[in-house]
Amino acid sequence: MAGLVIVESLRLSLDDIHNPGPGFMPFALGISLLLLSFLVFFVPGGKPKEAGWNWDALKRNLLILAGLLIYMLLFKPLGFYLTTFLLLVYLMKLSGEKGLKRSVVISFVTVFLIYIVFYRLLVIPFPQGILGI
Amino acid sequence: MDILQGMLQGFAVCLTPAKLFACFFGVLVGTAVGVLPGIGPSGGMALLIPLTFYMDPTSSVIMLAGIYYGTQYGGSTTSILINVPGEAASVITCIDGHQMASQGRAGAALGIAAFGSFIAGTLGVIGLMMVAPPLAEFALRFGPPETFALVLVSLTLVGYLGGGSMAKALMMAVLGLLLATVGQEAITAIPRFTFGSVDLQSGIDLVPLIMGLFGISEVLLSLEEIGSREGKAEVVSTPKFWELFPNRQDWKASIAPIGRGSLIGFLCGLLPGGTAIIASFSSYAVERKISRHPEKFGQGAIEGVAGPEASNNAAAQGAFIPMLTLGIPGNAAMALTLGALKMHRIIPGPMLITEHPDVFWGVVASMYLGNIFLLVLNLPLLGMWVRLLRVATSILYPMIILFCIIGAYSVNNNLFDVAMLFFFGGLGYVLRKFNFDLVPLIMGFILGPIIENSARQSLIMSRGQFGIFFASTISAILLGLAMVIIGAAVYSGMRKRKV
Repeated sequence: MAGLVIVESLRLSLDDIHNPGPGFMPFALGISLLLLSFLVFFVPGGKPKEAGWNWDALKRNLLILAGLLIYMLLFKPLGFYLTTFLLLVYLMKLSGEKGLKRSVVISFVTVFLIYIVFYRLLVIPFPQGILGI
Repeated sequence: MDILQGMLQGFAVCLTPAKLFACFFGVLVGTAVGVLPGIGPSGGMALLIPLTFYMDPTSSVIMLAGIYYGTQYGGSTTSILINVPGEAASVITCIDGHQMASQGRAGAALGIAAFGSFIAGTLGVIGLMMVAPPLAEFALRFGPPETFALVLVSLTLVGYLGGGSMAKALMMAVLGLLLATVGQEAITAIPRFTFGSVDLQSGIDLVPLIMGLFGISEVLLSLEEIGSREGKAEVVSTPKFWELFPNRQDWKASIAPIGRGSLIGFLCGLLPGGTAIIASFSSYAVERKISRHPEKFGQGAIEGVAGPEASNNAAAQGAFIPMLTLGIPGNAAMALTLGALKMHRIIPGPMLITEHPDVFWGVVASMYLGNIFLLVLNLPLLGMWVRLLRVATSILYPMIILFCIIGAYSVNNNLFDVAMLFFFGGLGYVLRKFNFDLVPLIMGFILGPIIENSARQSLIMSRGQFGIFFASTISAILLGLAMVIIGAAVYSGMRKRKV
């Protein structure tokens, strides 16, 4: 990453030290990042230790992130309310909610409240999608 | 304007329905955030920043300030009743607070925590009132070299005091500074690191960055604890209202620790990187050191609750001083508050008191009222907060993610901001798993434009001579201090490796 920053900074032009150009600051930061990365990753004892990986929890978090990505892709086609309802049910199940009925009810009520507060009261439009909701 | 005149103006500003509501709402949310384990003050503030778009600047800061010092009050409730800190600064309260609760003295512990917080919070506000104006006047002497030096020493101090590796902290600060360069450059308008994206032309927005780093990543980390905490946390029976008032003996044992904790906390709050966590730990260490009965600490010593709870509140008030008077946020919460003010086109710094006295004095006056609200909220409404603890995390965490999505989208009604939210959420999660501190990152992001502009202006003024940074006494001292901090970190790192 530091290398990428340095290359891009040189493309932006450093100008000269009397009147630094747009690439000056990124260049300086790129060099700093390179030095610090060396200290963190290559100096003995400097390597960051992971906080301990719980693979079940990691799998769940990856599923959450994947769900968020799909949510983003469906946001405009299906509209905010429908995708948010589906996302909430999905997240509740991943967060340990046992009953599907409870997740569905809570998600529906939440999305309905958002519709009332944001769309009706605050007049903040969210995308409605092909289904018109 | 003298202090008394300022305070009168402040009360005139904040004793209006809108400001009172903002203050009350802020401390209410802050208490809830403090009570609920898993979301800290930064996460809570990040969630409500979009709400500040609909408020005036003074109300915005009053609300965000209320959330910040409100969490210090709320955090003690879970520490004492279920031995789980509601937020990081209340960790130390678990030690003696929960012991007191186990001995049937939960009421006294909760009471002294609330009253101690109130006294310290009030003393902290008085300190803020006395120290901020002369400091702001002193800071008027700062030119570009001094500003550059001040920001540099702040970033190094945050890295040093944060604990952990200084190199990692500085790496995060540099990453934050780099993220701040994304977008059109201020002077030439040349796009930097946009890679052709139109959305990135205006740079990375603060709201999705903060909500992702502190909201989404916090939820992902907290979800890892599902199964380890749920079902195991037992709430010690909730004391009745009349049991919450400490007796004479409790007061006699606690008043001095509260006084000492207030001073320690206030001084910690002044330092960039000096967080409420450091304040509460320092206070506990001092109380145990000077106590005639140190063996009682860890067994339910009321001093072990009074001192730390007082100090974390005083630190919360003290932290506003560098942010409001110098424009230097000392921790993530102050960085968020500064970001919120910038969104309202108000730049905190030495000129804030003269250019926007209503904002400065309004916020200070609101803190007096906020501390009173908190005393009322935390004692009589204790039962309500205990019930809140029973809300299932399977409902709470998805709701937090939803608030983050709504908040990020509502900035510009742009799905790109939601994408940024998720990106920084994932990035924050990975960084925290590898024990990288995110506070230097956020500070670097916010202070990036300041340090770049001051460095460029200095070099233009000096025609490229780096000696300008050492030409003035103030900047020379500050840069010297930065070198001492880095030297101290290198030395302690080398000593650790030898051991």
